[in-house]
Amino acid sequence: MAMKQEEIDTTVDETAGESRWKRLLAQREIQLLLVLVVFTILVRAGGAPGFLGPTHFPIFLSQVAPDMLVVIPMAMLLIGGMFDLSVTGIANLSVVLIGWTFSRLLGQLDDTLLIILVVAIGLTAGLVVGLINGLAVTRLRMNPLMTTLATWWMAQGAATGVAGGESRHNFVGSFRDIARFQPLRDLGETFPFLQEMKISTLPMPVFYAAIVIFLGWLVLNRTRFGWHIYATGSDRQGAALNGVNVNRVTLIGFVATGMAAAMCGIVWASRLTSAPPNTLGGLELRVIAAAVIGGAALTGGEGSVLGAVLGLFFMHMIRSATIQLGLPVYWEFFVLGVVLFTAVAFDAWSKRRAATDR
Amino acid sequence: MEQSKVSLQNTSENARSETPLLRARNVSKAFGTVQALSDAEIDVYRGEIVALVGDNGAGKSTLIKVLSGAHRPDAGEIVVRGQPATIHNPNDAFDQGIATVYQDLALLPTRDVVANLYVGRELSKNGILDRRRMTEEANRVVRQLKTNLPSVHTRVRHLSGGQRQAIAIARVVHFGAEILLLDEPTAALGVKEAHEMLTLIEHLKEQDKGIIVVSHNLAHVFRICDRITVLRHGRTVGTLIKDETDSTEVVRMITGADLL
Ligand SMILES: Nc1ncnc2c1ncn2[C@@H]1O[C@H](COP(=O)(O)OP(=O)(O)O)[C@@H](O)[C@H]1O
Ligand SMILES: [Mg+2]
Repeated sequence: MAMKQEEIDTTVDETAGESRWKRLLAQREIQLLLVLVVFTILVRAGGAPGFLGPTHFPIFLSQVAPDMLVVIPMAMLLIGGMFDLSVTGIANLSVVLIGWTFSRLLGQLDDTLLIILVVAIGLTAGLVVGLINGLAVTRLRMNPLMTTLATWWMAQGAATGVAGGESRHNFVGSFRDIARFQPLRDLGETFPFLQEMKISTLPMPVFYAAIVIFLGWLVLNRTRFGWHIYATGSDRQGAALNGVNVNRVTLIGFVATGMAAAMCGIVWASRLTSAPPNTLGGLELRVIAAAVIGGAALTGGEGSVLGAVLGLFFMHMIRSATIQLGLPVYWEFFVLGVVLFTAVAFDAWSKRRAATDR
Repeated sequence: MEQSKVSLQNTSENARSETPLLRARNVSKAFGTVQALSDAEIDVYRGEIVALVGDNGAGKSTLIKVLSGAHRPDAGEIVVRGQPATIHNPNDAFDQGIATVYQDLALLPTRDVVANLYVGRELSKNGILDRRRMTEEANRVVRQLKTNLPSVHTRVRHLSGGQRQAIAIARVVHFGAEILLLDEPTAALGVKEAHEMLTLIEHLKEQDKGIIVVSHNLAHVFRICDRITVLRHGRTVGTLIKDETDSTEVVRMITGADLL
């Protein structure tokens, strides 16, 4: 035993008795990465050789990007012991408000000013609903499941109501750039390999997603606030007794998630240049499932940004594979259900094992 | 009769020339219709261990939580080092040099030893964590504890009861608090671990800290404490000097048999 204590000094990251490899393989992110690799190989061998190849990959990334904006704050919310069902409603509300504002003010305002205005209005919708969620849960001690179910319906209902049965199409043309602009295009002309690998065609949302992923990782792992998120989700009361402002953590979490959902709506509005109130469907379950597959626990205190990213990749890979393999798309949900079930069962199994292992 | 004897002892004690590190008077706290505390009093001096005893539900944990800022009292006065103190949250208590080990330890099961040692007090610069220093310090702290932890990166949920208790104690000791509040620190421990804990508490007393220990175990109480404060139904029924009393008297005060 005395020897072990010597070891602690020098090799901080080692857990005695377990090899480095075993520890690495015990990590959810590594397990998931292996699953993704095997899945890709199988799909390629099974009749879709271009799956995630140089042509498909950039397209795949731009398909994942809008969800990615939401899955990161959602994972952080889950790690903090909360979750938010209202994101789909928020995203659709922001889409509709953008359409509504454009159709009222087009031509009456400078185009750039109008674009800034609609973006601000969209984000404000996310801010307001996020604040309502956060204040209801922290101040009024309302249950997060029921609260965010209610605000989901309120936001979705408001979206449908404002849209009034029509999607509006008269957008400022350059509003498209929010989703469609390809920032590396010019660089591709100078460096042909970027063009060959289609990297120069990556649209803006991929870069927004990259920024959100980086910020999420930074906050969660490198800042005090990030540790407070983990502490709050791990044991809310215990964290509070140790001086962590748990209500602040929760409030900021809901606001960030709400604004990210609004951002997702803005990207979709720009991509479609139309504003139907049902632009997004199933966003909430998609991102919650992705975060859980990536190792976030619904009970809080566990999970990571990388896990959430890989989890969302997996969800979208299943969808892409279904299409590319020519399988009936109706089965996509069945497969997603099986994957989620497996992930949750695996979690339960490893927790049972950890509990008996001591 | 009994009451007057008790207050006499109180006066003799209060005649000490120094001011107590911590003194609470007339503390009341209700949870809805449950009056958890009414006119509770306690004080502790430097280099002293005061045992806080009472039956289940007497209000011991509630009094500890009022002193640690976890509960706001409805009424009462808290004086720290002679100065009236407002303790509205755990950070206020910490700033006054008060640290607490709660009955349920208040640890984070999914987090490692480092994160648990530093929760709420993380070392950081402009909000960015200094993880290296926290890990180094945690290693130093853990070595002093003489518990066999495989690594400071072990999650607390994988630790034994004794190890968890040790981490919870280490957390309050590490930050150099002068006033320690320990709520049933030996309750969850085996015989050997409990005695190690008592030794540690005695050691802390030698470092001139003022310590309030809640315990059900009168043998433990009589081994380590200097004075015994008895709570009954949320009220302080008296404070006894250990050398002038015995467990029979303490039990009578706890149960209220003297009133019959
Ligand atoms: N957070 C709370 N909410 C409601 N009632 C509480 C709370 N904490 C304690 N009580 C009640 O206050 C009384 C004193 O409890 P406590 O201080 O835990 O007693 P002890 O630690 O002496 O066993 C009990 O009746 C208990 O049920
Ligand atoms: Mg208690």
